[in-house]
Amino acid sequence: MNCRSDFAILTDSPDGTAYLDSAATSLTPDCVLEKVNRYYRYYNANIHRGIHNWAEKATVEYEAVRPIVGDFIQMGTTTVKDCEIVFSSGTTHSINLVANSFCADWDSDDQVIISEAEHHANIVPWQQLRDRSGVKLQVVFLDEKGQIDLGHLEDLLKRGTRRSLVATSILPNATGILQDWQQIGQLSKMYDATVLFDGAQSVPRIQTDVSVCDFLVFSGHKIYGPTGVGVLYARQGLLDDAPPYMSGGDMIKTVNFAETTFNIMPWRYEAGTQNIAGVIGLGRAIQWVQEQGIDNITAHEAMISDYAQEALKSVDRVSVFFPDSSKLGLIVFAVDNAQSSDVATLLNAQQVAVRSGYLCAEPILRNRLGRGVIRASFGCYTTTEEIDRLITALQKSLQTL
Amino acid sequence: MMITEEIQDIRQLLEDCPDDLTKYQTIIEMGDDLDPYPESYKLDELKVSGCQSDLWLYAEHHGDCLHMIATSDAVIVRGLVAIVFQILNDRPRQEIRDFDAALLAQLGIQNIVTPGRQNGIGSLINRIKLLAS
Repeated sequence: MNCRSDFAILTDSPDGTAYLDSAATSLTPDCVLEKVNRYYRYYNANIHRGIHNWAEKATVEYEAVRPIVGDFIQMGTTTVKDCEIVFSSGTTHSINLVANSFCADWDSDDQVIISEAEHHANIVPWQQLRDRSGVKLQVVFLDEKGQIDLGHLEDLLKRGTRRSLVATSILPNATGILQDWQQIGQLSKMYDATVLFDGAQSVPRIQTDVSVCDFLVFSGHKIYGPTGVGVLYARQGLLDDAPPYMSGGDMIKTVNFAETTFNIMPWRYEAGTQNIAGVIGLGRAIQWVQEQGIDNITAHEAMISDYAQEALKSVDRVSVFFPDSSKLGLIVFAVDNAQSSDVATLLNAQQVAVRSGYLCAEPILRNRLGRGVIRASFGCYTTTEEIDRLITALQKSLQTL
Repeated sequence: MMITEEIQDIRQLLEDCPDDLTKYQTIIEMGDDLDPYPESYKLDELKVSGCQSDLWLYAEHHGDCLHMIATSDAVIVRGLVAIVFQILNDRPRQEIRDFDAALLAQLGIQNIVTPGRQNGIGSLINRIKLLAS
C-alpha cells in the first residue's frame, strides 16, 4: 500500500507519532476532510425540509451515500436497497436500535446469542433488553484458536424455544481473529435465527457483505470516515413496522396532538437533524477505500499483522493473546510483571500510540487473562517501520518496568 | 519545607530529565520509596476510582496532620503518588484542604495530572482533600 501521502496527519505530524490505535479510530484522508469541509463551506443546510438550493444540494449529497454503502456491502445477487440503509451515530447506536426496535416485543421465550469475545457495545444493549423484557441472553464460547465454537452455537440454537437472534462480531476487537462468519450465518439460518453482524472492525479491512446476515452494523470513524456516524443495514421487512427507538423531527409523516404517523424506512429511524456532514464524509471515505481496493487493504493489513505478531512473540516477557492464530488489523498482548497502562504510557513517551486496559471487552480479557492488555492496531497506512519502532520502544520500556 | 518549595524541587528534578522516557523513569523510581502498604488494606472502600489501574489510599489523623500510605499495581501511578505525598503527606489538614491543585501544573507533567484523565491523579487529590476534612 502506498497511501500515506493521502493523510495530512501523517505527512505533517510534527511529533512523528507511530499511530497504532486504528482499531479505536482510523485516521482520516484529506479527501474526506475536503468533502466535509465543502459541505460546511458551500451548502451548509439542513436536509429533507428546505426547498432552497443549499437544502436540495445537502439532501442529494446525503441520500447519495445510501447507494455508496449498499454497493460496498452487497454480494453477488444480494443487492442492497437504499431503504435498507439507516444512518446512525455509530455501531453502538445501531445495535441499540435493533435491541430496542426489532426486539421491542421479545420476551422470555426468545433468546439472544452473543459470543464471548464481544465488545461492550454488543453486550450491554442485550443485557438491558434481558433486564427489561426477560429475553434469554446466551454466550457462545470460543475454541482454542479463538474461533466461535460452532458446536456450542448449534446447541444454543437448538435449545431456543421461539425466536433467536445471533449477534456476533465478524472481527472481534479484543482478539483480532477473523471469524468464520459465513458459517455462523448459515448455521444460524438453518435454525431460522435472525443474524446481526458487528462489522466495526471487519468492514474497514475485509470484504464484508450481507449475504448471510439480516443486520450489519459499523462505524464511520473506523473506516477512515468522520466520528459520530455509522450504519445499520437492516434487511427489508425487519424494521418496517417496528416502534422507532427515537422519535422527533423528520422521522414522521404527520403529527397532531392526538397521534403521530411515522415515516417509512430508513427515515423512520433517523430522528432529528442527522449528522449530515458525517454521512457525506462517510460516503467519501468508503469511496476512498474502494479506490485503494479492499482486497489490497486486507493483504496489507494481514502482512503487517503477521509481521507484528512475529516481532512481538520474540520480545521477552511478552505474551500474545491466542499466539497460534493469525490476526487481521490488531494484535493484543500482555507483558509479564508490568501493568498495561504503565507500558502504554512509556510507549507514548517514545511517540508510539497504542491502546491499553480492557479494550471495551472486559469479559473475555478478565475471564481468559485476568488482567488488562496492550493492543497495537493498524490501518492501510501502517508500515513495518512503525512496528519496528513499537518493538524498540517496548524493549526500552521493559528495561524500566 | 513549604508546599511551594516541594513543588519547585520536584519540578527541577523532572526538568533535568533529557526526555519524556527519562522523566517517567525518574517518577517510577520515586515510587520505589513509598512506605509499604499492607495487603490487608487493599479494600474496595480504600480504592480511589478514576484510575485505569488500581490505587489504594489509607489515611490516619495524626494530631492535626494527615498521614497517608498508598499503593498501586501500576508503577507510574506509584511514582505519581510519591510526588503527591512529598507535597502533602503529614501536612496539617487545614493546609491540605486549602491546597490549590492547579499548582501541580507547575510540575510540567500536565499530560499526567490533568483532571479528568483516566490515569490522572485528580481523583487522588480529591480523595486526599476529603480525608483531610
